[in-house]
Amino acid sequence: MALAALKAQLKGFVQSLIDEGILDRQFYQVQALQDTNNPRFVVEVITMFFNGSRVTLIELTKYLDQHSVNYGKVNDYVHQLKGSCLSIGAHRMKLACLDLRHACDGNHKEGQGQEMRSIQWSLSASIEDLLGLIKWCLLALNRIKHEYYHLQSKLETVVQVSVGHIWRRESFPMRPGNNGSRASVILHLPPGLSIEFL
Amino acid sequence: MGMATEAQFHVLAVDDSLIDRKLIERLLKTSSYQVTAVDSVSKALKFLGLLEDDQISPNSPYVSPNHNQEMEVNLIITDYCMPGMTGYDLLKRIKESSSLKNIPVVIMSSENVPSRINRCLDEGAEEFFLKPVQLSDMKRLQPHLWKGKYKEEPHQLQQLQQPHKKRKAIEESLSIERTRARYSGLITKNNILLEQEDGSISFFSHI
Repeated sequence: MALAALKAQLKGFVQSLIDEGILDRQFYQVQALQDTNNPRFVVEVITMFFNGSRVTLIELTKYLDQHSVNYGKVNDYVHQLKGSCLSIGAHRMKLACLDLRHACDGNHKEGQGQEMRSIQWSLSASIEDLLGLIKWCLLALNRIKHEYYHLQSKLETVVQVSVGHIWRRESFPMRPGNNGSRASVILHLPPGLSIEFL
Repeated sequence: MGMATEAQFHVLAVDDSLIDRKLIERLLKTSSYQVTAVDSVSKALKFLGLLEDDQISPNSPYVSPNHNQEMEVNLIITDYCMPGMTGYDLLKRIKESSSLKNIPVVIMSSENVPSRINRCLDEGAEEFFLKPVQLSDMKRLQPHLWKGKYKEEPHQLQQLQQPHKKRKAIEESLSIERTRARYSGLITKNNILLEQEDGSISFFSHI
């Protein structure tokens, strides 16, 4: 049965994303909220997430690109972004947000190690210190963007397959007396869509 | 009787995050609750009929005459961190209001800060949910919803006790029988028929 096979592949794909740490189990919770009355729920949440994150990342870039950085504003936006990642299960992107949060507080990781160096804010804070802080923040922001694009490319597959599901369901109504059996349905995708399962 | 047999609980959800509003709405609807979701504390207060007015004394919140009784709120679930007034501010306003203080309030937060949690619980919050809120968290709302809906409405509470009425009635009729037997026992024999646990009937005769 084509639909069952597709569902199984999708399930496997999501599990692989969880194994990789790109998603966490919260994504399963989101999927669990979808039912026949709300068949587009997951797609809507994913779309909402990327639209919202894109706007927040634009704002973050703007605020970190100024002569005097408003760290209060930056903190608020990071908190917002981290919250969205948490709600949808965007694990790696959430971790990248935490890094930016720490960078804003003046704490950042040195190199590969887990060493945290805290900048002592005092009247004698040097220009180097300030520039260093911004540098770490920008690096952290870049990492969030990288995770954003990575996640987007992976979840696009989920969206396309889900849309394919819905499209098929609407185009191939059940024959009366079929009792839910879909044995006669052939998998057709709208032209131009391709599925890659990595 | 005007009481609905299916109790439709109405939950007011407050969260500035669009995604979180969508998720909490779905979570609550999955649990068969009616939901109103707003994106700020001020909108929540307007919905509840607690107008914000600088001229009004903070000790006596003005309840709008437009307050629609049909839109009764049985529980409020709110995010803690929001721009403008926070969930904690909302909690305080609710508990300070004579008309709304009995509505149970649940706080949500993405951050596990014990001092924050305790502060909310001390102020009268029923529960503190750590985000992301899960399906399994929904059942924790049940006891607070029941308490919130029936605390001020004892006649409705009696409706709930209906299943017990039948048993009580049986017990009463049994005790009448026993009394009758006692009186008649002075002259005649006492005969008692008892249904045992296994469903068999036992006949006792007092000579």
